[in-house]
Amino acid sequence: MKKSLTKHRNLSGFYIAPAMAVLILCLILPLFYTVYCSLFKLDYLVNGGFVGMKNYVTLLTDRKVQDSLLLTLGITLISTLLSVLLGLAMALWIDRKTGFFAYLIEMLGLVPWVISMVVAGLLWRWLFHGDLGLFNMILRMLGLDPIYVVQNKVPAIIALIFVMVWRLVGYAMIMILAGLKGLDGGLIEAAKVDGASPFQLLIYIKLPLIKSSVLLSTIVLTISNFTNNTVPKVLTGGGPSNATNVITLYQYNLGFQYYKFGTSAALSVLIMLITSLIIVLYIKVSNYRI
Amino acid sequence: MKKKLVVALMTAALGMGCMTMTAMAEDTTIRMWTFLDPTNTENGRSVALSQMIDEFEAENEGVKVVVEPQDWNTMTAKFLAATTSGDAPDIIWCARDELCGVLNAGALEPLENLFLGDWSEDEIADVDDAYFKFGEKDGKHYTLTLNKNCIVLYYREDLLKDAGLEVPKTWDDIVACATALTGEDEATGQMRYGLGQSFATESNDPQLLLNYIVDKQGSLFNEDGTANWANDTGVEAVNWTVDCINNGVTPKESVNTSIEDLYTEFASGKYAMSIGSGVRLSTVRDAATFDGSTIQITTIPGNTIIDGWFAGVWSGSDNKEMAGKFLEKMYSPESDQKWVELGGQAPCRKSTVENLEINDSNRYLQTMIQAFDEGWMPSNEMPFVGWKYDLNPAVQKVVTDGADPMDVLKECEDNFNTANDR
Repeated sequence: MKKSLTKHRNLSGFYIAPAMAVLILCLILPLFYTVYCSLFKLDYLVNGGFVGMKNYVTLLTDRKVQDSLLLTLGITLISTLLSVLLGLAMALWIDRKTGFFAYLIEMLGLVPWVISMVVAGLLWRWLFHGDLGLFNMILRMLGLDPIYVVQNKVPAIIALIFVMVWRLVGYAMIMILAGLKGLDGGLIEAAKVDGASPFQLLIYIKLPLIKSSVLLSTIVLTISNFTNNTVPKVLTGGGPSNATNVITLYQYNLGFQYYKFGTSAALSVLIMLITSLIIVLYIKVSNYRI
Repeated sequence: MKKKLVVALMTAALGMGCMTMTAMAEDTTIRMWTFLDPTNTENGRSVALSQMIDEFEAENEGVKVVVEPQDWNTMTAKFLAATTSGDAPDIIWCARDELCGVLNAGALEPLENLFLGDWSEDEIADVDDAYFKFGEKDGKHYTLTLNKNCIVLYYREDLLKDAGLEVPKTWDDIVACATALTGEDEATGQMRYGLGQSFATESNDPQLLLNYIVDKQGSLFNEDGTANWANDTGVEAVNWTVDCINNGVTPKESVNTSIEDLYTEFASGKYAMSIGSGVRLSTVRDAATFDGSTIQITTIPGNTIIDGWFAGVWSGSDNKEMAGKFLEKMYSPESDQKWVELGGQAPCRKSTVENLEINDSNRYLQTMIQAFDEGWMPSNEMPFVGWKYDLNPAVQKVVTDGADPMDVLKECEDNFNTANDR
C-alpha cells in the first residue's frame, strides 16, 4: 500500500512536469529576468551598467508616477466594485430564469469579455466621438448639447471606467452564476421552510456560500483592470492632460516610447508587487483559505 | 571489395553533402520587419514590395523572403528587444528618431561589408543625400532610406478654389484659409473645420507648433541637444495653436485626437486642411468620401519637418549577405521606380528624380521633393526621442486646464531633457 502511494507520488510529479516547465519558462524566468533588468541602466537595451535600486528610487520619488498610481488605483477600485456588484445583481436575476432566455442573456453578457480589447476600445472611441459619434448624435436629437467625452478630463475618466465595467460585468456575472448554480438546493428549501425572506436568503445563505466565486471574480477583475493597458491606450491615450494616464500606459511609454527599459522593468516589478499586495489584502479581508 | 566499399561510402557521403547543401540553399529564409504587408493588395506600397519579393525569389532560387508586418510605432523597440534574445529579423526598417540608439547598440551591419564597398562612385553619388548621411556612423553607412517622408499640409483644392483662396504660404494665410473654410459642409451637412491638428501624446506626427518654432528659431534644440521651447517663440507657437482651437477652426477634441484619427476624419470630409504625412496621401485619397483627387499637399511655412524609414541588416543575422542583397534590391533604380509608380512614394534616388515626369496626378511628388531639399530633421549625433509629441501636453494643458503656456513649456522641456538624459 505504502509502495503504491510512493509510486503514485512519483507519477504525479511526472504528470505536472510539463505544466511546471511551461510556468517556469513563461512566468518564473521572465519574472526574475525583469527583476535583474530593473537593476541596470538599459536605455535602448544597451547595458549602461549596474545601478542598483536607482531605477526604483527614481520612480518612487517621481510625482507623475505617484499621481498615475493613485489614478490607477482609483479607476481599478471603482470599476471592479461596479463590475462585481452589477455582475452579482445580474447573476441573481438570471439564476431565477431558465431555458433559452437565460442562455441568451448569459451568452450576451460574455460578448464584451470575448471581444478584442482593441476593437472594444476603438468601438467606444468612435461612439463617443465629438462630431461623428452616435452618443452625441442621440444627445443632439434630444435637443441637448453634445458632450466631448474623451476630450475633457472628468468625462474621459468616466468613459474609461464605463468601458472597463462594460467589458467585465459579463465575466463577473458568469463566475457568480456558476457559484449560484452549485448551491445545494436543499439548503435553500430548508431556509424557505424556516420562513426566511428572499433578502435573508440572499444575505445569510447565498452570499456566504458563493463567497469563493465572488472573491475569485474580484481578484481576476482587479488584476485585469489594474494592468489593463489596451483600453486606456485605445480609448483615451492617457489624455487629456494626463487625466487617464494609468500606470501601465506610463510603463509602456517608458519602454516603447522613450526606450528606458531598465526603468520600465523596475516599474513592472512595482506593479506586480502592488497587485500581489491587493490580492493578499482581499484574501485576508474575506478570511478566505487557500 | 574493400576499395569498392570505400568508394561507395565516399559517394554516399558526397551525395548526402550535396543534398544538405541544396537543402540549405532551399531553406534560406530572409525575415524582414516592416509596417508594410505584402499580402495587402489595396496598398500601393505593399504591392510594390510584393513585386520586389517575387522578383528577388525568382532571381535567387531557394531563397524565401518572409515579411513579418509590425506596428510601426513599436517596431524599432521590438527589434532592439529581439536582438538581445537573438531572434531579430535579418532586415529591419528603423524609425528616424530611434536610429541613433540602434546604431549605438551595434545592432546593424555596415553596408560597406555587404554591398556598398562594390558600388561605383557614380552609384554612391546617386544616393548620397541628407538621408544617406543620417545612417552614417564613424565613416560607415548602416542604412538606406526606403521611404522618404515629410509632414505637410493637406488641403482640399476644390474648397480653396470655390472660396477663391490661394494655397496658404504663411502662418497668417493658414489661419485665414482655415477660418474661411470652417462651417457646415453644403454637400453633407456635416460640420467642417478649417484645420485638422492632433495633440494626442503618443503615436503622433509632429504638429504645426513644432514647425512654428523651427520657422522662427531655426531648430527645436540647443547645440547640446537640450530642448529649446520655453521661450517667447515657444509661447507664441502654443498661443497660435490654442487660438486655432479657441476660434473653432480646429476642433477642441483635437487635444486628444491621434494622427490616425485625423486621417480617417479628413477622408470623411471633416477638415478642409490638415497636418499629415506625405506618404499617406494616396491612402487618404483612396479612402475619401468625396473626390479624393482634389486632395493636394503643400509645404509648411519655414521648414517642413522631414522623416523617413531607414532599412538595415541585423549585425547578428546568419544571412547577412543575402539580406544585404535583398536590401540592395529594394533600393535598386528599378525598385525606386516601383515605389514611386505603384506606391505613390517620393523617389529615393537622384536619378529617379531627374527622370520623373510631373503631371496633375503626381503633383504632390514635387512638393515632397521640395520638402526633402529644404526640410528640417534633428541631427543623428545623439538620440532625440519623444520630441514629436512632447509639446502636445502643453496644448492639452493650456486648452483643458487653462495653464500658463510658459509653465507648461518648461515642464515639457524638463520631460524631454530627462527622457533623453540631457
